[in-house]
Amino acid sequence: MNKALLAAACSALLLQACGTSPSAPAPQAAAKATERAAGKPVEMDPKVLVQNNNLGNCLACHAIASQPNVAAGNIGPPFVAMKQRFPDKARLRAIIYDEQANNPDTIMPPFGRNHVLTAEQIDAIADYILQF
Amino acid sequence: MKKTIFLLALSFSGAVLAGPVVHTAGQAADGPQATLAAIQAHFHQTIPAVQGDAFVDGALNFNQGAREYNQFWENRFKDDFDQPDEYRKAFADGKAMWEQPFADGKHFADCFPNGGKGVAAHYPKVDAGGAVVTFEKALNQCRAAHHEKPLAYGNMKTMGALSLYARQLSDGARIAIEVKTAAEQAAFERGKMLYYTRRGQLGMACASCHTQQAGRTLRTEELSPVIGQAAHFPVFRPNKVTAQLKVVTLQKRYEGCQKNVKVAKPYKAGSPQLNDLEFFHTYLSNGLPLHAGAFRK
Repeated sequence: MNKALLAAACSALLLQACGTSPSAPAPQAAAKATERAAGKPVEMDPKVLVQNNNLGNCLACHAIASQPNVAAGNIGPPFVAMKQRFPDKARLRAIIYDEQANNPDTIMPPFGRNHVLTAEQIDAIADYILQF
Repeated sequence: MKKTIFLLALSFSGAVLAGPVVHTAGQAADGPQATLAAIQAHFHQTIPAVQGDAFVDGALNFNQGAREYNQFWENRFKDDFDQPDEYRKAFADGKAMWEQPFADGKHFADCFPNGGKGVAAHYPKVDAGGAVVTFEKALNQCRAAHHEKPLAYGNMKTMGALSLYARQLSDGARIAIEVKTAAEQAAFERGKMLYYTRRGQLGMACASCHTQQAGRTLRTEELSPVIGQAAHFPVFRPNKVTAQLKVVTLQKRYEGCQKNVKVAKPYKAGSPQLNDLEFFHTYLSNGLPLHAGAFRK
């Protein structure tokens, strides 16, 4: 019971965090470029990385099964039983880096190969989604 | 001159597209009929509930809330009392342009058979030189024939409004694109190549979303099937913050798609590449009724 309450509280907090994270309208691309030019740090908050449509935007295609209230697509498999499905984190990182290497007709963008995300960002995302 | 010919040859060859191709329904099919049949078979498997003219409703087929929201706007379009200003203005501007005589006293209606009624269903066409002529290009060719300057294809206040009014004269007409001659077949293949080729930093093809994944949900929006898309443009889309409506032609929408997949140097509305794409794209909607000025999120 306590556990369930805790989980509910956690997901409520997460939702709140999601709600306040930037949802990336078009002008943000320009803002990002300026940020980079100004030497601002690379975004490393995994909750932002999975939501922002100029970054990972994982939720556009993948739902977080334990967070059904977070808007997410159904194009890719949901994030569920991740540790069981990916005992080897390197495999998960490789998918995010370039799934086309493994599945040439996938719709999944090659985030690493095409420099949408840095190796560190991919690592942070892998760690984050492995908890689901 | 040589350079122009070289550039033209390059842009028509399809060789400029270096990206890999997505092998989904229709890609390996040989010729127009087989390509359409393969895509239809794929949709019959993946989105069986969508049939016949319902394809014109695109993504609305997959989301009742989206359909009701659409209905709310389209009811307003028909309501004299509650008609959105932008809607009224776009049609009024388009009508004024269509009816305004050129300096030589001729009108747009003189350039087309039947005064322009029903003609949009037969565009794009392929001209004697092998180039695709969209309906908007034909409108500009009409202007040129009567010594008027062309309208910019990306300008929705002029070309968007004119296209809206002129295409509405064909509402209800069923799309009838012919791909018979060698030139038409070549144009079809160029458009098809673009449709199935991965582009942009996200490395996605048109076919990734609108054939392979049609009917699925991308975050909050359902992906419309490629069949039916060409039938309801130009559309009115609302600004996400102000809900102010803006006119978007089919090729303006292509510009948006390219931006979404982060194409560094997108093809612009009116470019030969997008004209080729529109030819291929419109063929896939053959037999579906035109409806200009639909509402789309």
